[in-house]
Amino acid sequence: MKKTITKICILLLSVFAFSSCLNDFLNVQPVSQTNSDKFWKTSGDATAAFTSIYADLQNNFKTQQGLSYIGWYEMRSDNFYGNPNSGAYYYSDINKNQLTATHPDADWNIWYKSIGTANYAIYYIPGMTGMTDIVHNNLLAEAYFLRAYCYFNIIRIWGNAPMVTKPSLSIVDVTKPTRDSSKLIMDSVIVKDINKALTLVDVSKADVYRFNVGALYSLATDVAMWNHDYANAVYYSGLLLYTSPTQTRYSLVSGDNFNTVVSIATTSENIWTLKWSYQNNGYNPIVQSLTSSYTLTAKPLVDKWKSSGWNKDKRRYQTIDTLNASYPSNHLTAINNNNAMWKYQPVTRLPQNTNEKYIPLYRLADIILLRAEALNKQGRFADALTELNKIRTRAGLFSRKEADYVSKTDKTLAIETDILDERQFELLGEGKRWFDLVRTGRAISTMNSYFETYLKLYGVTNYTTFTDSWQLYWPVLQNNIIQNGNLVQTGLY
Amino acid sequence: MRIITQNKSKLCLVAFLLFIGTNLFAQKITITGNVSDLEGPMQSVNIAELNSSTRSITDGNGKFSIQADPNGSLVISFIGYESQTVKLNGKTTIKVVLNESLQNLDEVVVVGYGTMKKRDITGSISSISAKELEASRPVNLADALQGKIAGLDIMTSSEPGANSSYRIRGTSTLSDGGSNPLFIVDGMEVQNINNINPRDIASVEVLKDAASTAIYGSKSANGVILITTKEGNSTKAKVSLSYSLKQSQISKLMPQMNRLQGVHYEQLRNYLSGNYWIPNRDSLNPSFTADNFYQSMLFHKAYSNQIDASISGADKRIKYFISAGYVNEQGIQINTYNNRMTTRINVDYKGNDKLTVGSRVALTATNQRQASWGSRAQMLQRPANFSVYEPDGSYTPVLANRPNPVAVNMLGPNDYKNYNLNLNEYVEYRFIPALSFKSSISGTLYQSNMNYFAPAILDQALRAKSTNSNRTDVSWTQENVLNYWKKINNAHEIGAMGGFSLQENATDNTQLNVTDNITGSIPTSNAYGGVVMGQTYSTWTGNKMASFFGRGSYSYKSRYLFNTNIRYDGSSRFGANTRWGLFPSASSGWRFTDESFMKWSKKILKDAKLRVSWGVTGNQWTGDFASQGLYGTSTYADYMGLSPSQLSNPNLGWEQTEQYNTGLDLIFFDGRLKLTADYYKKMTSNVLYQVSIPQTTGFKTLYKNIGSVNNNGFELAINSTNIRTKNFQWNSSLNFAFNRNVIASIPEGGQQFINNVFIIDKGYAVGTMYGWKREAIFAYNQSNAFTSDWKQLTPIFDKKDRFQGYQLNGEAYTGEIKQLRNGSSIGAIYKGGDVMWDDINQDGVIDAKDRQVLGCGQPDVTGGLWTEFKYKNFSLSAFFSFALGGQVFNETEFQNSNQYWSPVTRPSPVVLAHSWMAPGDIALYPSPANTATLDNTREASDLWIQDGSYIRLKNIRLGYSLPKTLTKTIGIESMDVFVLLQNFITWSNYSGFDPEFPSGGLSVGYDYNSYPKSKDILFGINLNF
Repeated sequence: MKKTITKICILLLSVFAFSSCLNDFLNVQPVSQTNSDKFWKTSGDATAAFTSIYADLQNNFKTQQGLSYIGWYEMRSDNFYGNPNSGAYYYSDINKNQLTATHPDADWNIWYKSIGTANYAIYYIPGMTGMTDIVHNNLLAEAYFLRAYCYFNIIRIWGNAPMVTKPSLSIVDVTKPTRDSSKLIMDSVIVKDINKALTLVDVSKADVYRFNVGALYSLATDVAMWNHDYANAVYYSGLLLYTSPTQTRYSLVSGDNFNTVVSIATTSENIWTLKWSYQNNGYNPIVQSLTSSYTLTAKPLVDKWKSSGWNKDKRRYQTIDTLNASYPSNHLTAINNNNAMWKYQPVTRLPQNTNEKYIPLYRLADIILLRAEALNKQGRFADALTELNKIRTRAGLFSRKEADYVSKTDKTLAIETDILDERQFELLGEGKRWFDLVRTGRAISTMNSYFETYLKLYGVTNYTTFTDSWQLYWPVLQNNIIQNGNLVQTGLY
Repeated sequence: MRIITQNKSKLCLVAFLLFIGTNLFAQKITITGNVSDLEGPMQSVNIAELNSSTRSITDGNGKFSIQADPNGSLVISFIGYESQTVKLNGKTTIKVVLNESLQNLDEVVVVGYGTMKKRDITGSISSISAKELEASRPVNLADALQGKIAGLDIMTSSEPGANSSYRIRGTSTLSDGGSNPLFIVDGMEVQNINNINPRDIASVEVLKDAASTAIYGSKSANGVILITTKEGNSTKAKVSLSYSLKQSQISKLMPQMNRLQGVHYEQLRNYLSGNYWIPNRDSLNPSFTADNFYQSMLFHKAYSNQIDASISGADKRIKYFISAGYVNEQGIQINTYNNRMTTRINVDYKGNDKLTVGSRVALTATNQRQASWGSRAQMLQRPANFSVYEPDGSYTPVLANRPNPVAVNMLGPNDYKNYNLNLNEYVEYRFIPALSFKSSISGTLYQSNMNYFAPAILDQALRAKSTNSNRTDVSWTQENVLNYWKKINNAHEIGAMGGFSLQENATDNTQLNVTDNITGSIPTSNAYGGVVMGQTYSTWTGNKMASFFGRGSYSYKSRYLFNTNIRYDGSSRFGANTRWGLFPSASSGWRFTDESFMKWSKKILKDAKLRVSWGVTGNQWTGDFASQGLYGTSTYADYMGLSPSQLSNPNLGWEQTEQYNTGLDLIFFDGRLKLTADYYKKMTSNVLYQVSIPQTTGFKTLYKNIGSVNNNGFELAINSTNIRTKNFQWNSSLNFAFNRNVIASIPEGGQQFINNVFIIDKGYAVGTMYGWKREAIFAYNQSNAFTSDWKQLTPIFDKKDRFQGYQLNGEAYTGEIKQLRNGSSIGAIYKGGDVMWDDINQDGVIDAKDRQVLGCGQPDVTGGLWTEFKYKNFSLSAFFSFALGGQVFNETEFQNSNQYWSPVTRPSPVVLAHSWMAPGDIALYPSPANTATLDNTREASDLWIQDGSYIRLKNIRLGYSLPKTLTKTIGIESMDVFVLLQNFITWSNYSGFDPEFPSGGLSVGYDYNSYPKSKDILFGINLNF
């Protein structure tokens, strides 16, 4: 009996000893996939990680047929009316300030995926070797730039949000963060990241489809304007416009070719553009939705553009269909598939799915106008109008002079209004209007007047009037709150 | 008194015989005779004289001759038949008719890593023999097994070469695709069971309870299907030929709008929704003036031929079985087919008394053209007035986003060329009779080449595209098994088995996906304009396993039976700390009819066995690298990106299923009635689940061992020989199974919806459909009016249809009136033609809180009923299969009737006929207006849920065996012919093509343009030489 027990013990022991040897046999590593131990070795690895962030931006913006891009940046403004009858009826809810926590655009997850990748890059790049400092620094600059860009969008869209600056490397890093204040994120991430990127950037790189110093100056200007930090806005826009090498890199295209800044988006004016490849990214649903029956260019805007003083604008007929777009009295209730917008593909308007269509993120005219705004706020009216008139001249419009504003009680406000009008026409369909309104504190009044004087006039009354500043921000997606109970919903959503 | 005398005289006789000794026995005479069964003379039947060593066998005409004592007895026996003892009493010629054995308790059943006598089984194992499998001449195993085994639910498709879904005792896991059982062919794990020719199969064993499957440890939680292929057994070479011809056609057509109905539909839709966009209806444009019934264009009568040949034989040293088969199966959908060639060589060679070597080699090559999935969507949705052919006879290109369904089917390849090679070599050494060692190596090589080409005419933008992919799967298993078996004192049987195995699987996948092919004359990805980077890749994935396993068994006179299994598995899929899993099981059986106190019942209850078992099995269905941190690719413009895509979880380990089983096997009246009943309880814990995590981490999900699923159920199988006379026999069998499934726990926030309607959450069965319930359709705008306690008011109108006021229970109502709103308290108020959803919480708002259980795709009962009549050489059988109590989610109809869609989509005319069209209509479906904001035709609703219960007369078979006396004269041993009618009648209320179709593990009953069922007439002939 004893012998048998010994034998069994030996057998069991050998099984366990053998099984530990088998652990080598059982160690199977993925071959066609990589992991953090093998990655982050060369500059190519880091570039590939950044490419995935640009891919995220595309996926982010094209969610729900381009709804996210249009929804976050433009649909909440007075530029477009959302067709309540079409498949993507969510447009209508956005336009009428009827956001809910189940709205697909309330989802910030893709932004955080990009931030997660950027956090990996910021964590791993300093340890990389085998490249020149210039290359090394520029990689780090790109990581900071992309993280700043993502957070800048998050705080503009949602206000307060979780601030995640460390990479999630394994299961222990899975936490349930709370929403930090947007000011904290601005001060301790966005501004700092931009400053770091400015010291690290390689100014010689000028790829319009990716990070470049021009894009960095533009983002810095944009952020400064959001913070009402006009000195820095003037400083950064000045770097772009008046220092080498960006001074000579960018120039405005002629007024007759105005639409090429979006329809081709690789012109001398384009600073940072998201490229669309038909094979690899499918058709561009943002352009498709902007120019189809999902959205309708608001009638007051079209009417204003037709009025004297504006109707000679070369941009007008390149941006909207001035010949066939009709606005009958029932145009808000029975959308007739004749949206005026055709900037992305003039004349044919409804783009063939086959075309590569770009989304311009920053272009020179945008920054010139921001600079004009900043100078105006600093009281440098003449300088501000000089910048504004660059854009007006290109458009074939008369120049504005300081003398025009003598009679105004609030000269700054009057000039700002004109600059914002200019931006509305110049940048229609390029995702700038809503945050211009929020930034300048005009969102609530502008939108309430849009509801009262436009929608109501044409029989649409199911909008929600803006009454409180939390309504300027989006709700957090219900599912995100379910997954992280520490998140508190925005305002009264 | 007389009895005693008789006994005494018998005793005297015995004493006398003993005294006389052998001298008297030597005086033998020649006895001749013949042996036959119902079908005619039988060859190779054993004839033996009782209590003597004299033996003989019958010849080809069933005749025999033997030297025997004229007063002795002859024992006539043959495998599979009941032995007979015939007293000679001086007769010199005898005629014997043998009956097929009804109980076969000594029949051997294959179990994991060995065999067992059926009599000694203690787990829950169902077997099915070649004869039953071949009766309906199936092309694949799923067709052969469907409805035959209690607790094995199979959902098949009529699409040639399509995979079926198998479910043994319900769904026990929460990973989609992780519910299929483990398939073992001749001891070798296989992935794709469609490569096996059913004609090569000798037997199929379905292991259901944990005690039976635990020997396969980590992969066995969903049950195991063991397949044993044929081997040679007669000294004379046996040649078999069989041929069948099958005609198939669609078993049911769905109603579809014709041109005129479509025009009316569009007018109605535009009128109701105030839309102005009317697609081209230019009467001079030939593109829009057709009137097609697409189903008759897409389906046709299909013909399939199946031919099989095999040769087998055996002598003292060698056993062989060689077969070849070919089937060209045409699909009922035009231009779909699956041609399959199978070959097999099974050889066993006995080197000496101790050493045996053997080999199994099977090669399968298939050439398949699949239907492109979208073709059936276009078939039902595309308006009938859109043309299919241009005036010049060419195919009409895409019209208003609607590809031409006939062109989609006919143009360009969608071809799969698959090659499958299975090899198994073994050597077995018997040290002493009781102890043997077997070592084997088996391997599978699977190669699949796919070619898809869509010419420009099929694309909206007129851009051609094509895909080519190559997939190679290589797997090998090395096994070493030591087996011990001994019978002591003719009462105690002891068995022990121990083994060790190593396994490796690897898959290489290369795909090329291109666009803008420069010519339509090259249908491969060979001349193109651009590469689709995201779909062009070369990937590798693989896993390894190492296992120790053992079994101990003890039986006392087959009355008390004990079995125990253990397996210790290591898998490369899991983290280093959690890699190894232990899977024990135990079972016991008690043959209580062998007890002395049960003697009284022997006349009726011949044999009865009670079985009890318990065991733990595992599941490792995750990605090969589920526990590791990984990076994934993405494309931006023409660049390729890489970013973290999976967070590592080094603690990821086995999913475990614990199962209890109690069963009873009863045999009555000499085996005329057999009954097997089983009750089981299955509890799966540590479910491998992709848990959602806060995405602020940058990741969406993480594989964790979390959650649990329970199944319990009851299975019953009854076999009976109702009538048995010399020329006539009536047999029948019935099996059914109830299974109840519930998700017992799930991580916090882990609720998921599959396909928007199937809920995965605690307390719900897998396959539960969840959403909003339709109470009614509001007849008038004024119908949306309720009292303060939510009783609906009746609006009253005068003769000119002017609204007068409300009534409640026939009396005028003037109190508070409440109305239902959509989405929120400021949402739109429902009007006439909108759906009145069930407002569960009575807050007047139809929102997410008003969702409820609407149905479940898993049936309550599944099973089959078979009955057979045999008269002389004729046999007539009918087989019914059924699944009752399940629901089907008709995604196809949702897609067709969904109001979001453009007017170039056609709903079913039946749905339209039941839709609200004018005030006052009492309807089943909402108005066909485009009222998307109200979401009237929401997907997660019972508008699309239908009863999926069905009873199908799966086949009727009429067979005839030519008399052997006749076949002998033309040199054939046997010949039989049969006609089979398949799927001719299905009783079901489902409005789609068919309530049965393969579906995903978590979305049971999700019908999305599934392939229609075919009904077949099959003629077959079998020849044996």
